[in-house]
Amino acid sequence: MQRWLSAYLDAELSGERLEQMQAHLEVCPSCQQQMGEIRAGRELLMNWNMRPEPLAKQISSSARWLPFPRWGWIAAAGIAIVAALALRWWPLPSVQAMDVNFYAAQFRHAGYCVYPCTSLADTSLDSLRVSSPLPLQYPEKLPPGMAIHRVIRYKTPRYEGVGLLFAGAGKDFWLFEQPQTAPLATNGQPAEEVRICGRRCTSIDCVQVHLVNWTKDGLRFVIATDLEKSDVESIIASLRRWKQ
Amino acid sequence: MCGPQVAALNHAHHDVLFRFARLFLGNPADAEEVVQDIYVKLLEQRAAMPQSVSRPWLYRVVLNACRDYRNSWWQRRGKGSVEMSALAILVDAGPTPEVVLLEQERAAELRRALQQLPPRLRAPVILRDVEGLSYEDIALTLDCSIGTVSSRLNRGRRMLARTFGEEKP
Repeated sequence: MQRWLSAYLDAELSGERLEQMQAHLEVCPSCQQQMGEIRAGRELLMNWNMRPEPLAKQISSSARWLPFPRWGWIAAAGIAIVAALALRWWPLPSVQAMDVNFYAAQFRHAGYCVYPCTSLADTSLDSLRVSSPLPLQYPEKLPPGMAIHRVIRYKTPRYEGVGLLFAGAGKDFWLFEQPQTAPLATNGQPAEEVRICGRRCTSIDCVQVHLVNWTKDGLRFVIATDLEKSDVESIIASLRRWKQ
Repeated sequence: MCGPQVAALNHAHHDVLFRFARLFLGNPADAEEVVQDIYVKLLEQRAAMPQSVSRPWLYRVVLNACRDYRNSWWQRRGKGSVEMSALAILVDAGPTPEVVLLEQERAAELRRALQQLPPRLRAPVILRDVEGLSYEDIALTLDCSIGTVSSRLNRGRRMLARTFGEEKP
C-alpha cells in the first residue's frame, strides 16, 4: 500500500484501492508518518510563489555572447592564426567593417537592455503574438553548410521580435529585427554619419537599408531590419554569396 | 515544413518549456540552451512534431532535452554555464524589501533542495507539484506506470521535505 500514499494524497485513487488505503492508513503508524513527510514536501512546492525575475536580473543572467569555454580561447588563437594565413590566399568578400559595440552603444544609450538581448523570459507572449517571426518560416532556405544556431527573442521598450542566429563555416550571423527608424549612436553619442552597406547614413531606415554587417574578432555579424519575406530572402541570398 | 509549427510552439508553450527546464536544471541560462536546442532540432527536422501538441509530449520533449544536456560532454565536466546560486532570485520589485529578501532566500533554498533530488525523482515532483499534471499524464511523460509515478513522488517529496528542513537554520 505504501507506494500509493502520494496517489491517495493527490486524490488519484478510487474504488477498491481507495478504500483499502483509507483502512490501512488508520492502522499503520509508519504510513501515517510517511504521509506527513510527503504532505510537507508537496506543500513546499505547491505554496511556492514563483514570480518572474526582475527584468534586469534576467538580462544580466542570460545576455551573453556565444558560449565559449575557457579552453576555447586557446583553440581560437590557433584557428585565428591558421585563418589569417589561409585568408592570404582565400580572401573573403569585403564587407563594411563596423565597431561591434555600435549597436550595444545604441541600445544602452536609449535605455534599452544589454546587447545581445537574448533573454527569452522577459518577453510577454501576448505581445509577441502580434509579432510574426517570419524567419522561423524559412529554415529550408539556409545556405549549404549553415545551420540555425539559436532562436533569439528580444525586447526593447519600443519593439520586440524573434530572430535567428545563423552559424556556419566559422562565421556567425546575427539576424535582428529593429525599429523602423533608429537614431545612430556610437559610444553613447549620436553619430553624425555612418557608412552602412556602402551608404553614408545618419539613421537606419529599413526601407532603404535592410542589412548591416560587420566583422569583429573573426566573427561576421548581420543585422536585418524590419524582416519581411523579401528581406529574409535577400538576407539569405547575401549569406549565400558570402558563403561562396 | 515545420517552421510555422515551431513558431506556434514557441508562442504557445515557451513558458512551460522554459519553466520546466529551469527547475529541472537549476538555472535559467542552461534552461534557455535546452529550449533553444528543442526549437533548433524541430526546425532542422531532427525531431518530429505531432499535429497537436499534448502536455505529455511537451514535457517528454523538454525532459529528454534536459537529460541530453546534462549528459553532454560539457556538463559532465561539471562546468555548467552559470552557477545556480547567483541566479536563484525569483521575486519582482512589488513587495517590501523584507518580504522580498525572505522570498528570495526561501526560493533559493527550495531550488537547492530540488536540485539535490535525483533526476528520476525530480521530474515527477516538478510535473505534479509545479506543473499540475495528472498521474496519467506524468506516466505518459515518463513512460512508466501510475504506481511508479506515485512511489517516485513519495520518495521525491519526502526527500525534498527533509532536505529543505536541513537547509533551514
